[in-house]
Amino acid sequence: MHSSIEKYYGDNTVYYSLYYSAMDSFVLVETKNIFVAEQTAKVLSSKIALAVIILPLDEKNTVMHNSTVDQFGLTNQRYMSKMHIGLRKQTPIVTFLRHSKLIKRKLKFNADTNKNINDIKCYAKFCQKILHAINLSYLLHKHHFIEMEQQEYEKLFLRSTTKEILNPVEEIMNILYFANNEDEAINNISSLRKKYIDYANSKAVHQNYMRRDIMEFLTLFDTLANLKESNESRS
Amino acid sequence: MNQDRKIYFYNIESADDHSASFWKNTYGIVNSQGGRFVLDMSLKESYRWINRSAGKWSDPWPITMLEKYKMPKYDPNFRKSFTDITDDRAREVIKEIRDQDSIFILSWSGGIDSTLTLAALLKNMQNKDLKNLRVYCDTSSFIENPYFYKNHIEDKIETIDASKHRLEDIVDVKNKLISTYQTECLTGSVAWLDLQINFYSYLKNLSYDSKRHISNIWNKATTADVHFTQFKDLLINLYSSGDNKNLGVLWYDKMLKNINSCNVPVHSLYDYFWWNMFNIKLIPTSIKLLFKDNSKVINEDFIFSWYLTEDYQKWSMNNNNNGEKIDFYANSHKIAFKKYIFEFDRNKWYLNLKHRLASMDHIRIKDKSTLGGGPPPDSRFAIDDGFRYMYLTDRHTQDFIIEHLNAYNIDW
Repeated sequence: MHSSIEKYYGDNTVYYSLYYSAMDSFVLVETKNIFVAEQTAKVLSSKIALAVIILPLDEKNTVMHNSTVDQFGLTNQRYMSKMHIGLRKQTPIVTFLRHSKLIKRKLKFNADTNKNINDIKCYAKFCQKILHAINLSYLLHKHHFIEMEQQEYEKLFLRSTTKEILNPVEEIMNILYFANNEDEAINNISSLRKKYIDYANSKAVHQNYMRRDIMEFLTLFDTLANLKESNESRS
Repeated sequence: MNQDRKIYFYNIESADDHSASFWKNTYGIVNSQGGRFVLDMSLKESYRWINRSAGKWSDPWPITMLEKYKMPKYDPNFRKSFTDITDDRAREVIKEIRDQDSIFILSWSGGIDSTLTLAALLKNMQNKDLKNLRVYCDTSSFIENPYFYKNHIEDKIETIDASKHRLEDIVDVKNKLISTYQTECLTGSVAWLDLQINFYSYLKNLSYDSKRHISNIWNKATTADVHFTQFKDLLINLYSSGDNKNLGVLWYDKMLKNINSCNVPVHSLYDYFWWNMFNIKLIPTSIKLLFKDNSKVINEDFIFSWYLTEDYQKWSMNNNNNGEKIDFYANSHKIAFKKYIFEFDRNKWYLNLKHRLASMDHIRIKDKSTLGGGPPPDSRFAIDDGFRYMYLTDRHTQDFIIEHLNAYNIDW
């Protein structure tokens, strides 16, 4: 454990990886945000139990990229007690490497296993992109979601337990968690988009302003998530 | 106290300060090599092993066994498929529901073992039978298998919230608990998975030649191509303790003597770990989780041990090294189980990526104050043949332990 906050963040000294201990395989690299790394592992936990490993980013260590994750493994997991197969849970753990190193190695998997790993890697990249997009777009437009913001304050500061509306980040996480694949997730995100447009249209006053603000939020989300392009290419 | 009393289950474990202190003091009193071997081993892994096979094996104290735990005779001609065995087991439950109107409570963790049982029941039950099924689970069960919960449990089957209800308050002769604790004994152990994941770190301390040889044959460890004795140095290393390499040698020799005389094929390295579970760890696995709980939950009349059947055990003895139990990596563990589940729920993620996790926590007792009076559960040493607990705090039990450990010799 490190006592310095800087040691945890992607400030050019560390980066993050999603690790599948059962097959000593890395699934994803996240360079920007530890919380998005954890959110991604969490939405993937309906399909795979992953660890978020904080890796050093310096000249002494080889650096892994999303295009090269196949080539890497760990020397062992033995001393990372939270990773122990007898103690592991489905929920993601976040950990530093302890007495273990990132190594280049080649594992021989059969075609089926390769496909399974590739499928989850593709879905992980998709989730990562969507989560970055929704976190940023919601943060920048949060003040438009009046009820949600009020509920957040009620829950945090008035300790109310009546929170009923999921905020957009939570809605997206719910979709990614339950979707079986990328297409299913995109369909459900489309439904969510409609829900937010309806939300704007339901306002009795300042409906136009609200519609404009919500559209700005959705446009930013679509742009960051690259979703319009993929929708168009699908149609 | 009768020093010849027999034991159903015992547990040498330094679980709390008192038990750790007791076993440490006992080590200073025990002079026999056998007794010290047992105590040394218990520091590596709780010592609670009971031989079920015809293979040679000695224990420090007199052991007795319930009929249901005895190992069936190996039958090389047994051909029943895993699917047929599982469907038949579900039909047994359904028959009892229809004949006796019994209620069955399945402790569902979301893990592979209990999900297979639930899938088999749902596959074979008619709607009218569902009213006699309860799923004992909590949020951790949902987290471990959310698709199954959403598609097959939520709003379809009556659930009992495991975070609010204790098993001993629920189970009785009419409301039976379906336990699924023996699965790993059929398919192989967590010790193998740990070795597979940390293989290279366990090669430390071996000679260069030994390391090289074992590395070369490692990828055949789950096949019949290489006999487990080729991994002898690795196995000794695994069970050695610090400088006490002799501990690993003694354990290896004890296991080898048992395997060579058991009349069941044990060939690959994976088989070696499987046999360890299937033979000496089945009874501890069945009882250890409940050992520190209220004695009511280990009442045999209340428990339907799903996997403890002659058919499952014969299947287990006849399906080594053929891909039914494991391919190589942890995600392929219990593959026959996962294929059965997939036929029912079509969840490819669970089929391909699910692996063993610590998923029994929801049934473990959460608050020892609910046990009532008496010595703390961590001071329980054994259950005798009268279903009485033997406590480390009891002078007679202490004498029993020391006397038997002192008389125990290395006889293998």
